[in-house]
Amino acid sequence: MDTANPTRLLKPEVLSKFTTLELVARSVVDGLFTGLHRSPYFGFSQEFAEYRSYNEGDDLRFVDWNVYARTNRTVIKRYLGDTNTRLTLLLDASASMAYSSFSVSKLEYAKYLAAALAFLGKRQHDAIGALVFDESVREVQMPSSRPDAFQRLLHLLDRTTPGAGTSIDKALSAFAEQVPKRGLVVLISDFYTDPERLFKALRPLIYRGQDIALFHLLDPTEHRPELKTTAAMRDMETGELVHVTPEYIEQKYRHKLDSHIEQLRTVAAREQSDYIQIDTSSPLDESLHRYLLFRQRRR
Amino acid sequence: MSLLSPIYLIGLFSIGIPLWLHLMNRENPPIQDFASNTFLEPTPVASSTNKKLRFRKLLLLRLVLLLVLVFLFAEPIVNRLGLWSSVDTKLHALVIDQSFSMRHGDRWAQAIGKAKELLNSLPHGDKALLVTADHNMKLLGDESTDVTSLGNLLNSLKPGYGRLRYDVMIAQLQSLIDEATLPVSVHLFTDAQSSGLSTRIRDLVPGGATEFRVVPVGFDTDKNVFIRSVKQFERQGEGEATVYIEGLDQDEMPENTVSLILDDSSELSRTIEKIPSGENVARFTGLALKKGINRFSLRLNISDALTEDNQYFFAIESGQRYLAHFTSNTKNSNAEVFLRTAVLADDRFVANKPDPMITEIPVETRLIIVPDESALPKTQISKVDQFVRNGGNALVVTGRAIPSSESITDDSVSRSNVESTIGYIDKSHPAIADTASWREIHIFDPVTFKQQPNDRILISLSDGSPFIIERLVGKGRKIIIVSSLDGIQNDLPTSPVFAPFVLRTIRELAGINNGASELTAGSNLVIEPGGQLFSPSGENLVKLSALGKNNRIELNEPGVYEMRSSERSGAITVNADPHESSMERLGSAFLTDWQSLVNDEPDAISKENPQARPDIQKQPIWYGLLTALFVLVILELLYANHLLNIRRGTAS
Repeated sequence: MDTANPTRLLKPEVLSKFTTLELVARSVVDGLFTGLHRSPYFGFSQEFAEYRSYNEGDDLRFVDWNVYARTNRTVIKRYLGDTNTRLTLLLDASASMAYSSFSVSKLEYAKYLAAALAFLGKRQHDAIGALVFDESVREVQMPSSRPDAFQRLLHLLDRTTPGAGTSIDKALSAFAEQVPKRGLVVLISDFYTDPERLFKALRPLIYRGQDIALFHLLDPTEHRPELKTTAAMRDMETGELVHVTPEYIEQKYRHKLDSHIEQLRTVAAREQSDYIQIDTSSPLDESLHRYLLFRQRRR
Repeated sequence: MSLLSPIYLIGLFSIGIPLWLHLMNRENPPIQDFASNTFLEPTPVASSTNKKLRFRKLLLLRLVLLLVLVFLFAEPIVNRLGLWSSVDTKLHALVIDQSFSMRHGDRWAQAIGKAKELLNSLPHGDKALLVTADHNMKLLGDESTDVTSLGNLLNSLKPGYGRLRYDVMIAQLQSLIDEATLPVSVHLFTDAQSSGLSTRIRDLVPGGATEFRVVPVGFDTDKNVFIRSVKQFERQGEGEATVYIEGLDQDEMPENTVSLILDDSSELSRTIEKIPSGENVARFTGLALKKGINRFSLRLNISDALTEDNQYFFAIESGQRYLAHFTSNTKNSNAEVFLRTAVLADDRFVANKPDPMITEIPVETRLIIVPDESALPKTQISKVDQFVRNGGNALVVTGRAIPSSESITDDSVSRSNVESTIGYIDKSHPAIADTASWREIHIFDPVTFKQQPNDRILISLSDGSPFIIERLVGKGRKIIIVSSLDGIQNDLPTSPVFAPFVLRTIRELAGINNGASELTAGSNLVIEPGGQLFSPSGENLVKLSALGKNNRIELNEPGVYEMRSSERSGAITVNADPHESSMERLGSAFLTDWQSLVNDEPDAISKENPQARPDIQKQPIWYGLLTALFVLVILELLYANHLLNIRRGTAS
C-alpha cells in the first residue's frame, strides 16, 4: 500500500484492478481512515463516545478492561459512528448504469461504493443489506448483523449486471413494504427520473424514520459531454436515437442537466435527505467522506 | 485539343450529383451510446463549417474524377506537330511503277536499283514502306527499318501487264498518307509515261506529304514497236484479221512481218504495209475456221526492247448461230426489212421470217425483234413480255399507231406534231456510239412516251422526251425505239447510224461480243454463279468453293480465256494495254513542276506563317486520361475511407 499518496488506491481505475470487491472495500476504507488521521480537513474520527453496560452477547473485544480493573464493572466502549443502525444499500442496476467513457462504468463504481459502504457499516456493527433494482426489484438482501452478511452482500454485488430500464418508484415501494425498522438508506443511481416523483416514492420511507442518502453517479462525459460532430445518441435503456449537434450539447444539455441536479439537491434538502453528486472518475474517498459526514449529522 | 465525340460532354451534367449530395448531406451521423436521452432533444443539423471544410476536399476530388471520366468518353485528341515536331523520324513510301511499260529495256532494273540506293541512304530511324502501282496500288508488308528485308522484297518484284494512271495512283496513295502516324515522303520510281497523265493536274498532288520525288527511269530516246489492235471478223466461214502496228520507223517497214498462229498449230506470215490512212497494217484473209472458238496469237517479228507487246491475242467464234426471232403481225413491212437487213450483216445471226400464224417463240431464240409493237395483238405482246421476264432480251419498236400492249399503255403513248431532233445521248451504253451521226437524225412525227421510273434513257429528243430507252422486265430487258421504222416518222433507218446501232444492240442483247470479250491486262471480270473461266493454259480459274456466288477475277496474263456460264459463253482475249506501249514520256520540266506542286506547298506555308502546322497529326490521349482516372478512383477511395474512420472515431 502506497502511504505516500493515501488517495491513490481510491481511484476507480486502480480499484478496478483489484480481484475482489472485499479487497476493494477494505482498501477503500483503510485508505479512508489513513487519510482521515492525516488530513486536517476530515471532520470525523473514531473517537470514544460513551460507555454502556455489557450485555450478554456483546463482543468482548470492546470491553474496557481498564475500567473493569478499576471499578469491577464490565462496560463496553462505544465510539463515534458506532451506531448499530440498519444500513440498506439500494443499487440501481439499470442499463444506463453500464455507461462509461473510461475503464470504470457507473455500475462498477456503484459496486465499489456499495462494497466500501457495506464494509464501513460492518465495522460499525451496522446491520447491512442491499436491494438491486432496475425496472423491478431484482435481488434483495435484508439488513442483517450476522457475520456472513457482508460476504453475502459482496456476492450479491458481484453478480449484479446491467439490466434493462429504470423504475426507482417500484424499487422504493417494494423496499418500503419490506423494511419496517428505521435505518439508513443509501440510494446509488444515476437518477434519470423526475425529482418530485422520486421523493414522492421516498416519502413513505422518510415518514417511517429512514434516513435517506442519494448518491448521484454521473460519468464525466455524461456530466460534461463533448461532441465534435452531429451524432445520433442512442439511449442505452430504450435504444431510442436522438440526433444532436455539438452546439446543443454545449449549451442546452448542460443547462438541463445542471437544472436537474439542482432540483435533486433542492428537493433532497427539503426532505431532509442528503444528496451527493459524484463524478465516477473521482476517487472514492471523497464519496465516503461525504457519507461519514452524513452519518454524523443524522438524527 | 479537340474532341472526337463531343456529344458525351452531356455527361458534365452528372457533376450536379455529387454537388447535390454534399449540399444535402444529412448523412447518417455516427451513433453514440448515451446513458439516457432524458435531457436530449432532436436538433437540426447545424451548418458546421468545420465539417464542410473537410468534405469539400472530397467533393473536389469527386468532381475532378467525373470530369476526367466525361472527357474520356468524349475522346480528346491533341495536335501533334509534324514539321515542327522534335521527332524527325519519317516514313518513306517507295512507290514502284509496276506497269507494262517498265518491262522496256532495263527500266525495271533501273527502278529497283535506285530504290535500293534510297533505302541504303535513309537516315537512321526513318521507316520505309514498299508500294507497287499499276492499275492497282498494293502495299508490300508493313513499315520497316530493316533495309535488308526491304531490299529482298524489291528483288522479288516483277513488272506487270497493267496500265498505270497517275491520278488513280495518287488517289490511292492519299489514304496511305492520311493514315500514317509519321510524316510521309513519297518517292515514285517510274518511267514517267505521258499515257499515265490525267487531265486535271490537281489530281496529281498528294495532300499531306512532306516530300514528293519522281525518280524517272528509262530514256527519252527509247523506242517501241507494238501491235496496237486487231480487227477481226468472220465471213461465210472464213476469218479475216487486220493487224495495226505502231512505232515503226518509215525506213524499217519493208523488212518486218507479222506472224499469225492459229490454235498453236498453223502459222502464217504477212508483211507490214502502210495503208492510205497512214497506218501500218498486216492483213490476214481466208483464215480457215473451225466451228467454235478459234484462238489466234500474233507475233510481230521485230526485235526491240519491249517484246511482250509484240504479241497479241484474239479469237473468232465460228459456227455459232444466234436466232433473232422476228415477232410481227405483218410480213415484209418496211421496219422488218430495215431491221432484218441490219441483223443479217452479222453472219452469226439468223433471222426468221415472221409468220402471224405462228405465235410460239422457238426455244432456241436468242433474242426477239419486234418491228412494230403497236400492230401486235395482246396475246403476242404477252408472250414477248413473258419471254423477256424469263431472262430473254428484245429489241422493240413501238410503231406508228397507238399500241395496245400492256408494257406501253394507251395513256403512255401520245403524239406530238412538232418535228424534233436528238437531244441527250448516253454514250456509256454499249449500243450507242458515234454521237455526231446521231444528231443528224430527224424525227418528223415524234411520239410522246411516258417512261417508267426505272427506264434508262439512251437517247432523248431535244424536248427531253425519250427516243430510245432500255427497260428491265423481270430477268430480261428490252431496248425500245419510241417511234416507227417505216421511214416516214423519222429518217433513222436510212441514217448511217442505224445498221451499226442495230448490230451493237443485238450483240449486246444476245450477249456476244459486248466489249467484255476484249480486255486489257489488269481488267476485272465478274463471273456469275455457276460460271467458269479457263485460263489460256486451260486452268479453271474459279475455285470450287466459290462456285455458288459472283466471283471477280483480275486478268493479268495476256492470252485467250474461255468463259462458260448460263449467261454467256465464249472467248475473252486479254492483251497488254496499248497505252503502255507508247514511249512518249513526260518532260523533265513537267516532272520538276509536278514535284514542286507538292514540295513547295509546306515551305510556302512555313515561310509565311511560322505557326502553321501543315502536317499536324492527331494524337489521341485517352490512355493518359484512363491512367488519371484510375489514380483518382484510388485517391477517392482512400480519402473517403479516411473520413469515414474519423467519423467512426468520433462516434466511439
